[in-house]
Amino acid sequence: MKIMRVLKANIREFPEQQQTALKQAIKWQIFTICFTLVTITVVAFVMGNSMAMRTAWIEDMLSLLPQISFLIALFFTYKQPTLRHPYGWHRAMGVGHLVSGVALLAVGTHLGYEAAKGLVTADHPTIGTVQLFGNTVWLGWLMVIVMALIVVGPLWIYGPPKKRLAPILHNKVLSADADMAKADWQTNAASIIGVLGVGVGFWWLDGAAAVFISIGIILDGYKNTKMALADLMDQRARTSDSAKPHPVREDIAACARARMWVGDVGMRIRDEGQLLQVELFVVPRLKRVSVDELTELQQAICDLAWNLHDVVVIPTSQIPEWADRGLPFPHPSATKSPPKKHHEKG
Amino acid sequence: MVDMNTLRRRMLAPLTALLMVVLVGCVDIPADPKGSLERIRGGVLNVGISLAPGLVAGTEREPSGPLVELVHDYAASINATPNWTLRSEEQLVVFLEEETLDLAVGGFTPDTPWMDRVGVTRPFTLEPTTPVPGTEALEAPHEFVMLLQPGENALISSVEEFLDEELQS
Repeated sequence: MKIMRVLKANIREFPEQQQTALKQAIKWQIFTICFTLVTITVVAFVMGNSMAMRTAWIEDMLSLLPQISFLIALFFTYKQPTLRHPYGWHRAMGVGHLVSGVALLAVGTHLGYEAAKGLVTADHPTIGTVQLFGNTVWLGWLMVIVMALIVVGPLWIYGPPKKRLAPILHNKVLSADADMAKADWQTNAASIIGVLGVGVGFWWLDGAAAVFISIGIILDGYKNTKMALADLMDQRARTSDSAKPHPVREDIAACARARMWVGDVGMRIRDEGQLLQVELFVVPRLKRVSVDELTELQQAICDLAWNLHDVVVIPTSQIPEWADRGLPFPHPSATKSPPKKHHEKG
Repeated sequence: MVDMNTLRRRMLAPLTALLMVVLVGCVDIPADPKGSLERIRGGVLNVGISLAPGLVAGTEREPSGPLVELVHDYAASINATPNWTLRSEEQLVVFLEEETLDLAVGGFTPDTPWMDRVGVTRPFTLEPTTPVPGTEALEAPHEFVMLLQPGENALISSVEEFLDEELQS
């Protein structure tokens, strides 16, 4: 199939560690999608009139979005740059991330509103019985058992491997997906508490649990939207969990400063979704610099990390004020503006 | 030496299981937020009926029909005395919402639009039997539901359990 040929051809451009990680990530995403489709079907059968169960069910469906967008975006990111798309297609990962985040935010808000409305209008959830192998069983027990069983998937089966693979691939969608999987146990616990609460007569626990789950969805949506927007708006590159600026900036600066002909450096790095694009501003010690020296520096920087794929070295007379000088944190001169060049006469 | 966090995580599953066993054993699940079943047991079952050919017929003082018989037998099973109210479907639903009635039977099918406003049992099937003299007979197996106050889960479970037993044999 053409899709597979394109993917395989481009995966081979990655170093081996990333190739293995990527193949594993794809397998885990496909497994997760299959697992989630099964749990969605099962929960649909037992959810009855419980608001908490319905909210958990919809959250389950929403969780498919980052996984599907990851797979679709992967296909796009491997297309080579063309005249029409000179920066390539790497932003597809960021677009997928944004779409997932916004969907979570929108649906979470709607569900939260519905749950809160149900609490205010004092809707008592009616949960009756089902016939199971000739016995009449309260449906609430089935709900509790199902929610307790399906939590093993995100918590123990596919959540941890994805969390492990995300930094290797510098993939924020994968990292966010793994975080959401890890927090899934809270949704299941809330539904169980909600249903058992209804069982003992506390009808409002179901609505309260639904509100709790909705807040979780809204927070996931907010976090992912913010992360995706920041990258799409070309903020400086950060680690795959967005905890701090990407440490490769120090390596780049050190690599450049090691060259004799380099006087001062400043850079800007943006995250295009897995791959980083670097623009390095260099003030040469002498007024001239050869193409060979520029090319050598560019290649040396590309070799620093697997995901520095688009490096541009720009000889200039002055480093822009906003450029990152690549100094380690915290460093007093990192926050100060660069010293002004004094042009003395005579 | 195992640290506290690991110990807590390992204890979580068995503790939850223990909690569930305690709940099942000691607490009555499901329960009625308004205590309907407790009140009705040994007391009065307020039933609303709406006329439906082959299912509910007669008057408020002498209702008849297969559904009425089922309700009679259910009330007997919990030592309750049925108190009949004959009205239209809509009026019965309003009475259920106002907590004047506990149960309503009539021509309610599994597609009933009233499910958004009141509690509904799951569907049960009534087989055609020898007709009670003076009433119409059911011609084909009929799927029906009963309406109750929303959220009275002990009562609805008790009714469904009874209907399972009655209609199985």
